[in-house]
Amino acid sequence: MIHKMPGRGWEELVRRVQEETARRYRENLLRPRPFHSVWAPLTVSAYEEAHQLKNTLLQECAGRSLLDFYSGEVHTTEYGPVLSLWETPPIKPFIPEREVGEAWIMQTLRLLHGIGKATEARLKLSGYVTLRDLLFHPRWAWQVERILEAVERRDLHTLNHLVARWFPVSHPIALALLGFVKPEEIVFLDIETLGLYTEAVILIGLAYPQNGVLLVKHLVVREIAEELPVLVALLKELQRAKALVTYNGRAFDVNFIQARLRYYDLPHKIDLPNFDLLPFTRRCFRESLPNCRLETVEKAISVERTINIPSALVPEFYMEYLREKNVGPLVAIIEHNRQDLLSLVLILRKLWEELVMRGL
Amino acid sequence: MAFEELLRDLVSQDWYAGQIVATFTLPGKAPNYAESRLSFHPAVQGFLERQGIRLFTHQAKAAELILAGEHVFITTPTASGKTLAFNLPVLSRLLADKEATALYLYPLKALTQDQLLKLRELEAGVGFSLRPEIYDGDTPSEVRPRIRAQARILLTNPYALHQYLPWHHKWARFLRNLRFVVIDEAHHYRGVFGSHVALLLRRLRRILARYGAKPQFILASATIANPEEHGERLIGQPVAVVKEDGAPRGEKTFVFWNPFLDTNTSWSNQVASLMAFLIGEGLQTLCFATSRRLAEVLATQAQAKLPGKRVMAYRAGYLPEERRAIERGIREGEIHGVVSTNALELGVDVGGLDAVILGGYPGSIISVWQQAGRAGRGPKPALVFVVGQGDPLDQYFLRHPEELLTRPHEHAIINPKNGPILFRQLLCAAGEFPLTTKDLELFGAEGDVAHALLGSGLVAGTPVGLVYAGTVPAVELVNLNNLSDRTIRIEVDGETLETMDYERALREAHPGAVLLHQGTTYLVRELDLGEGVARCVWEEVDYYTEPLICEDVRILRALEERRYGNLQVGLGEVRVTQAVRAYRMRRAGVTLGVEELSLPPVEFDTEGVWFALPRELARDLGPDLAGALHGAEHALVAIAPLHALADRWDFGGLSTPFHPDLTAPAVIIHETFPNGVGLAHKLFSVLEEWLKAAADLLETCPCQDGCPSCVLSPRCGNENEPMSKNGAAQLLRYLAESLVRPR
Repeated sequence: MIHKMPGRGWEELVRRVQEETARRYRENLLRPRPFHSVWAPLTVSAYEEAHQLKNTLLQECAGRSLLDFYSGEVHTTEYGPVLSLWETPPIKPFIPEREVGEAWIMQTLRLLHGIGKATEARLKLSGYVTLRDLLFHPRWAWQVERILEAVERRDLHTLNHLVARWFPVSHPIALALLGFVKPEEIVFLDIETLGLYTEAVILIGLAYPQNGVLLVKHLVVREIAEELPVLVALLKELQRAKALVTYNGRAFDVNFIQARLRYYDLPHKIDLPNFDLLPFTRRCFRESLPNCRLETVEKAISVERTINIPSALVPEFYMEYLREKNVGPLVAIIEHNRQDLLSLVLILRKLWEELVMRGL
Repeated sequence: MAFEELLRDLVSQDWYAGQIVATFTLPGKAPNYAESRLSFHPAVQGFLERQGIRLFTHQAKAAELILAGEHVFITTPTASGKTLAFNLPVLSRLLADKEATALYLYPLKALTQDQLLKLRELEAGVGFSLRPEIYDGDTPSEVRPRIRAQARILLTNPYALHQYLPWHHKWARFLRNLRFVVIDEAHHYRGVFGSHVALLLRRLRRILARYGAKPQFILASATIANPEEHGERLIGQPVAVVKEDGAPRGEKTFVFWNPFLDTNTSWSNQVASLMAFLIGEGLQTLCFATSRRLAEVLATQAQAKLPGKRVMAYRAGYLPEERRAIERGIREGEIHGVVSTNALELGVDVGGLDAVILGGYPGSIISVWQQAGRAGRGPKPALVFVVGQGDPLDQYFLRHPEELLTRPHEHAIINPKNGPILFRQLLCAAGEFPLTTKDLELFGAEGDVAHALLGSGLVAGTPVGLVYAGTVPAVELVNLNNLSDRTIRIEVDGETLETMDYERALREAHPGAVLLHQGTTYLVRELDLGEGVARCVWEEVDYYTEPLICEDVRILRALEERRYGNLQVGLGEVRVTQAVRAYRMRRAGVTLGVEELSLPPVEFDTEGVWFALPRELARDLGPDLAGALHGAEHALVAIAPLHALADRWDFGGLSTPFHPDLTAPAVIIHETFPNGVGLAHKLFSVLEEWLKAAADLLETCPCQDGCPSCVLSPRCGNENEPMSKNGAAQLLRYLAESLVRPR
């Protein structure tokens, strides 16, 4: 076997691999993206704007720390330190009503095995308007009893399963199930990463109501070595949750987190019902909007972003933060993520009105 | 001899001009059957009895070792039944253990299709289904989840495996139960590709360990000289070797054909005529060509001579459906002749053909036997034509035909410690799981690689190991065939014709280059290296182009040096700067003109062997010195592939009356892969044999002042000037003798 001595070769090799990485990264920016309806293609002007923003932030944040801008603290865990930042933005938390969820279940006779659209219409004409009316029906009573029981116990898993069996993922009744979750058990989730497939997670954003206000929390990976403790901290945070609300989280965020947990050989199953707003948004805005990218939807519901960078540039900003040891670009990423979370709340509110309330 | 009449017929053709220089008939061989019964699963045993299959000795030995749980390397000739030898025990084990799975790796996509059919036939015979499936880039996405969930035998290629490894969790069932990894055509894993695959297999082993699987590795290949060494380097564990062949062989007649004895008819025209003659005699004929271009040209010419018959070209780069259709056509006899690159040399089953034409020395003795083995499977007599080209090795073998049939097979050389390859593969591994110190050992990585990885910023050091920290998937940074992964798209009217790597594009897709694709010529108008596109137009031209390459070589560091009097021979690291300086337009071997190019040079560090010559020798050679050095360089490069499994373009050279690093007249022969894959080491270990063969090449070449068969190189950037064949022969003989002369 030939033994290769370390030589002057490494320096040149490393430079080449770095160049290749940069080149491929740029190519990927311009390539049509997977989940193309969610990630926007990058325009030249957006790119330039983002760079100006980055330079401004680099100047303003030189020599400062994240804790100069945010409230937060560093916890020491057995896997390493975790920085969490928090704030309570002036936005009302989303409080779903249980009655709404119940009303949806009750009016949907098609949840019963054996009842299709035609039978439902016939039954309604015969005076069976809600499931309760069928409680003493010789044929359906048994099934109705089980559903009512699940409603009583707020058994989201059973209800979810039932709904998923008969209705498409974008059906309003699927969203209405959120009514069965206590507001403080609903966690809004959005992550930032270095790539789309197998790269590192660099920021995890969470939002949930606490004492009547919305609490936005960020778990920050200050260097890659902190990804593992941050993931463990996330698992702990999720213990409080009974449901997740995400945007494209079924395909991306939750999958991605599970892949990273697996990478670190941690228990990787996130078994929470995930209310992914993307399909509902498509159903609601399909007619009126050209696409359902987050920023398009934001415009439609009049959300303004103050500091913004395109999602596609997050990895570049993070690398710049690491290289320059200056939190400026990281602040931009945190603000971007924060806005994503707030938009999630606002979009949910809109969808709740448009799809869930109107459908009653 | 079985083909006497046919050959008599051939020499009486009006176009025959005495080109047959030698005819040998190798006798057939009776089979050697195994005596003992093996402990196969009853279903497999029953199948063998029903079909009346008796195992040959090597098959039984291989099966026995596999059933005993060993890593096994079967290296016996083509058509000796290697596939059955490993399929039987694998099937047997998979039938006994209802969860067990097996992974079959083939170096080329084209091979998997054929092997799948073989497996399915075997299954049908045994009466069980293990759902063998192909899973690679051609697998439609809608069937992928089903295959992942159900297949118990999976056939794929290293390129696909490389892409899928990061998604191992989707394969959890398959990986957890993996009992066998079958690596067929293992001799194909040499050089850069082989070194990459060796590390890819270590990545696979590391992931499998996570799933608690520790499969047996089964390797199969054509006969190579170093199966123990190659097997162990490839899989990182010792292997038990099976090499005695018990299969019968039919009589084989080799006819050596020197096309240069007929100066009126071009090489390709003669091969096409030969092919047309054989097909006309009712022999289905396979002709091997040494390049894609040649395959296309020969197929077109042969077809033109045979109206009413079908002659096709076959090569990698065709769409899978096209290839399948051609393979089927050959099997079913609808296609009467096929001209192929070495794509058909490996186990693609096109059935037994009646005759094979080797259209030029394929680059290795291993390939000679693989290609010849395509003719007449089983005990049937077969006919093989060896048509030499003008290249030095071709001519060497036309002058020593017995050598071609008796030379030992080459060593397969890989170097999994090659810095750039190791570095990139480690990035991929870090993308799959954090890399621990123990993992680094598995990859044979020294501390300095870890250091370089950390320094690159592409991985981060964490308490659990090195974590990938890049912004693009690590697997995108690795091309198993290449050290740089920059590729150039060949575009016609905005549509991609094919892709080639950066360095190759500089040589073959420079402005003005003529590209051939499926018999159609394209002219390159523009090579945009920044965008990675070569823009071509369709244009019918009747000439071809050849790049002229200039290079400079500096010596960085000696690893070993030997002195013989005032002669100094060294092995070490060199820095090579190469540039495609110009290209030559040629028609039928005649130069039409030379056009200058201005392309960026390529610089890389690699390993080489140098000869620093004594000053007094320079005095003796006088004005011939530069020409002698130049000729010696070309001869040494030309003959180098005789000693290690490699081709002529894997080596480059420089000669100069004064080299600044050696302060002497010098000849330097180096590898053309950055950091080297071990070829220079191999040459340094056979110095004397190498020099003698080079001297012999020149001394026995009948030409006066040098020809393309000895000292003239088609790619020489200095257009073979200055050149002295006699000086070179004298110099090489002197060098060979200096080595054995007592100091």
